[in-house]
Amino acid sequence: MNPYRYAKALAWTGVFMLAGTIIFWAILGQNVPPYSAELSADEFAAQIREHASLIRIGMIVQMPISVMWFTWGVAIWVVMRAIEKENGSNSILSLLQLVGAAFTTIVFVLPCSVWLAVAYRPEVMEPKTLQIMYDFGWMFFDMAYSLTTMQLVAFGICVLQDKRERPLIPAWAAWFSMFVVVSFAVLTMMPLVFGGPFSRSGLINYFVEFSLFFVMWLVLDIFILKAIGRLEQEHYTGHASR
Amino acid sequence: MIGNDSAAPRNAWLLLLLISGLSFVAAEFSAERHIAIAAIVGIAAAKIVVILVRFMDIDRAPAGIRRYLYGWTLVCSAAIFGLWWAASA
Amino acid sequence: MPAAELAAAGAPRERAPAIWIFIALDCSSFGLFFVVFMAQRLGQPALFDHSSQQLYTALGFLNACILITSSWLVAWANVVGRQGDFAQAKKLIAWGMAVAACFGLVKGYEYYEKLSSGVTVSTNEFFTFYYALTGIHFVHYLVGMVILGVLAQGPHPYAPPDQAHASYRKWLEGGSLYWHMVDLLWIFIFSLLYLVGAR
Repeated sequence: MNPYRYAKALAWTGVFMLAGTIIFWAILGQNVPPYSAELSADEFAAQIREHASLIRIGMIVQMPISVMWFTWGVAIWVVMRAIEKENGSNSILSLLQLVGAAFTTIVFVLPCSVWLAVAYRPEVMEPKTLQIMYDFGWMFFDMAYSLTTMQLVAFGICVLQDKRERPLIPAWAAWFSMFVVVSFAVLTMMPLVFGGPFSRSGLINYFVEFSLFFVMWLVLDIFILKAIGRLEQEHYTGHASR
Repeated sequence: MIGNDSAAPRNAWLLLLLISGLSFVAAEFSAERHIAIAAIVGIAAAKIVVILVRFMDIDRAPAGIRRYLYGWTLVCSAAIFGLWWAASA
Repeated sequence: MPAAELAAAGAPRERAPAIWIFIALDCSSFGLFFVVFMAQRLGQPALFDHSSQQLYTALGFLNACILITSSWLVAWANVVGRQGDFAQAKKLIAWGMAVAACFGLVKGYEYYEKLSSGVTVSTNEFFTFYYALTGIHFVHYLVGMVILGVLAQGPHPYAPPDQAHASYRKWLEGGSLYWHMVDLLWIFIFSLLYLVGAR
């Protein structure tokens, strides 16, 4: 049997989730950019009440599609395992990556349930209650970054050890993804400020960090799809493609 | 040649400490701010170029990276000085 | 050593310099922080200068000298490492780490002194940047100390020597490049936070 069966389909789930996340989490979820922490509780509650129905749809769809972070994490694992097989079958890095993907999935699910709760019946809730719930969602979403950092640093280190003449994943893509997840360290500033570039809706911690993350997501998924294609080719032609 | 010349990093060390001292003096004791800031930013850029060339052997890096990092040093220093100028005007 | 010699040394593919990509990206993000810092300063130069004067320029200067010295020792280690003298390289890396440990002490004292006198991230915009820039830089420094700690162990003692030496040389090259970047970034951070606003 083709050992790479299903892998391509799993890699495609990453692209689907990316598109879905842009539509449901970002646009419908009113997260471009998220509500500023500088808003007063009343201003914030007014915003939520106005957009509650869109946020509800966004989060209701985002929660189930978030599992695809794990399914395409398995596609990454398939590529890493192929590299590890040539390197003495040390599977520590692919394990870290896989567990990191599983945990990151929670980061895409749990905060959405919190924001869904905010949009559930905002007209009868106290503004301050709505605000702390919304803040809680963002604290989890931004500050659990180390789970993703672990996932993609393990990935980067592994693919840099690929001995192929033309590596399955180019070195620049590995370094780029490691850079993006390491740069998440700036998010550490987010719980300490309300406005400015380091706040949850600010220039650096929202616009720059999230754009980088989304670009990295697409770049990585394209190379994972290509790598799986090459692995299938190697499997059927019986030797490493040059 | 640069890679095997062990005197290169040593000379660079003295040079770097010396010009760091100059920039400290410029910041603390210079009366004319425009000149002081130009000196601080210029010295920072010079120190970075010395580190790139002497410590990091940037000549061995890919040409694109080399151009990019020199460009980065130039753009950062120009932006720092330009924005300082704009704020003081 | 030119690239041709490296290829002739038997390495199937020389890929260590790929860390240059990370360095270029990391410098870009710091570059962005510098520009945003100066742009935020535009509206309130007096506040930024006044806040900057609360920092100890001498301590920032001391830290710049510490990092330059440590960087120099690591550059030297890389030079002797390329010549195959791993015992000397290990020693120089250990010295580089010892010197760099002082950076952590000085920075720790500065943070302690500022925080205990009530100056925090939320004091004003200058200090938000002060803690963000020096904090992110400090994380880079800690990662660098771990890398130096690994390099100070020398080549793997049990692996076949050619393999262990080739891999050590590669890590020494990449690790020292990273360490120089930590030094290089401090130069701009120091100039921006401590010097531009002084007096």
